[in-house]
Amino acid sequence: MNLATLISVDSIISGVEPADKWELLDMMVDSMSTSSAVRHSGIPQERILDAVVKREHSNNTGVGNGYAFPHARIPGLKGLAVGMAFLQKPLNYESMDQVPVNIVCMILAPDKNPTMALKVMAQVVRLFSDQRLKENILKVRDNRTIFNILLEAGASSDIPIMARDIMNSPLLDVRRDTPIYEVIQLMASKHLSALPVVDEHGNIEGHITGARLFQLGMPEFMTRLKGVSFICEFEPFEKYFYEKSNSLAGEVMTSDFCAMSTVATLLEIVYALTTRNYPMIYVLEGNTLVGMIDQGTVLEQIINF
Amino acid sequence: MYLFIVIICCLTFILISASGLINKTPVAMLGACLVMLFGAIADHTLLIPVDLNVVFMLMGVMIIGDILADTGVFEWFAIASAKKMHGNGMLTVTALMVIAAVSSALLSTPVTLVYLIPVTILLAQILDLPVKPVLAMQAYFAGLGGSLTLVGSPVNFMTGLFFNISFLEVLREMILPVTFIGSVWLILIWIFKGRSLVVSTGNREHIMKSLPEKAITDRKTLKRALIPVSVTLMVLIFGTSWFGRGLEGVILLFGALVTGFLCRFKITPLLHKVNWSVIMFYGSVCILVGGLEAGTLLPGVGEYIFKYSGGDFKWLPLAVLCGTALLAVFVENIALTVLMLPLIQLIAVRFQVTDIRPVLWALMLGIMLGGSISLYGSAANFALARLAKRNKYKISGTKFCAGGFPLAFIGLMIAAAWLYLKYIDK
Repeated sequence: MNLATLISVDSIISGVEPADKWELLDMMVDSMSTSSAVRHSGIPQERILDAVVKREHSNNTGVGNGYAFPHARIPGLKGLAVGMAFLQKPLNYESMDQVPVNIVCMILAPDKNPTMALKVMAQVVRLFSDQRLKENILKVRDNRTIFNILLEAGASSDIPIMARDIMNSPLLDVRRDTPIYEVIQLMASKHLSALPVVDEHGNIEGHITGARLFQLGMPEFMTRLKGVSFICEFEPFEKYFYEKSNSLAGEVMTSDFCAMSTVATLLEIVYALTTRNYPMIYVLEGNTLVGMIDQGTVLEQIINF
Repeated sequence: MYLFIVIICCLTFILISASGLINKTPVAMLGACLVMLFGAIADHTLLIPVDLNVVFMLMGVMIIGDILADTGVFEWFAIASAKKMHGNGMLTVTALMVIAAVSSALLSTPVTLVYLIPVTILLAQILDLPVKPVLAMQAYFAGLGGSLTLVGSPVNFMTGLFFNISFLEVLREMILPVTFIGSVWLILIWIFKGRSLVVSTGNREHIMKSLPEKAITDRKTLKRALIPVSVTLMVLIFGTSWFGRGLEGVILLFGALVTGFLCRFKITPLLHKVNWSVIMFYGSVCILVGGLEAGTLLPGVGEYIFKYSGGDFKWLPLAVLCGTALLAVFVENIALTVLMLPLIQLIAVRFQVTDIRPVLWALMLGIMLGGSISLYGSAANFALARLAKRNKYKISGTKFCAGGFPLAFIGLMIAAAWLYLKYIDK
């Protein structure tokens, strides 16, 4: 299915300068009210806006690299509705990587077909990975012309979902010589389950997981005991943590991380996360770290769409 | 040429296993493969020395040990006895040593140490006791307790099954020297280590506030396991009159499997409880020694011993006791036993003795006493060194040997006196 067939000229917004993302969402829902899926289902615009805003409050849809995908599942919607906004002046969307967005794609999905919406998201990201196309389309202020560009690009949304479509930008990484207490602070402040350790070229060398950090405070012999509840007064963790606090990331990291290419399939990703129990998948382009996927990412983007 | 290859393989294996640098099982397996590759065409009997009864006994002990350990029973014994002793350092360490000795006698030394070491480190940390000496003392006593019964140590398994000695016979013979050695060791430890085992009131409070009943994590399995394990033990002790000798391994494996099934385990998880590395090690060592036999080296050594002793069998038990104790410090204990058993059999034939058992008691005591102070010679002590190192308690092989030397020496004197009084000066 061509992406352009899901979008009408009316549901494209360009040349606008909204004050904040809430105003932009309002404008986009308004523009999409004329799409056939919304029109035929007869759902009031306020209800759609409520659903989109509620979703945005529960989880920021700014995925990084200047893209945002506000979305919602709308019960009773007759088909998929897609709207796009191209902002010449990037808008602060409070994205994970703090990069202001200039391409926003709103997807309203019926209750029963969330995968289709994900494929649309993937297609949009892939389409605009062509920097020239992205720059050209951001210069245009006429919606009809934008629509024609999308049509000509011939982007199909009937393609498998790959790692590059669902990965998050690598928010943080550390070097081998980063003190471990800094690593702990970073992981705690950003609620990360794992953090990559990279060299000066951005090549991943290992990673530090939350479980590994807990192991620092848990002496090995304790893991061999069948239980510890019989001991009421003894907490060696602080001592063990203290002993390890001067360690460097390179000394604590493990090399049993899972790395995949950007074209790894969703099946490979879910298999690695569930069957092989990897806490994080590092997505590489060549040897360079370009994205990260954890269970939360998959749940958020696929199951909990 | 063939004998040369076998000797090179055996020597390489002995050197590597004594160094403790790399895992000895793959080395033994590679050596066994080489011996078979070069000798299999000439002599297909190389596989015969692997005694399936020993394999079954190892499997049985491992399965029963692991089923019991999973219930938290080792933790319960340790913490309950520490609380009973009111956290007194010397009494708690004594209790830990006695537990190690008794458990080793019933479940073998390697199995006991693997499960007791974690809770021993925990108690030593809580009471602020010197961890490394406590672990070493526990290892010495586990080795001593292991020599008390047929299932207590791989050395006893193999010797008992090779020469058709029953569980009860081993227990009856060994109880006196082992108990005497243990009592003397305890007194020496109290005298020389007592000061380092003093515990502050605050640390004793930690133990007094502990809840031993919570250490048992799986009461249901423990209840289900107790009866079949006890029955298995009874059959092992008294069953030879019903089933005949030489079936101890089969009895133990049968008991272990019944215990496992009664505890609702399926066969695959039960087989996962077996340390196959130890089994493969035993099999490989048997093939290596089988190569030596086939290469006529052992008969030559047997003949040399006969000539050197002038055909006088009388002093042989003492010679075996001291010789094996010395060798056990440097040579892997299972390998040494596998080497010594056919040699003793050859000697028995050459000396035309009807009762070889005094030599076997000497062999069991000698290897136990020498092996108990060798960190890399015995599988149990090697496991201790590995677990201690993982917990930042690096035990040096020489310090371990030096620390245990007075105990082993005194033990050797007691064992020699017992052998002399009972078998030589009669």
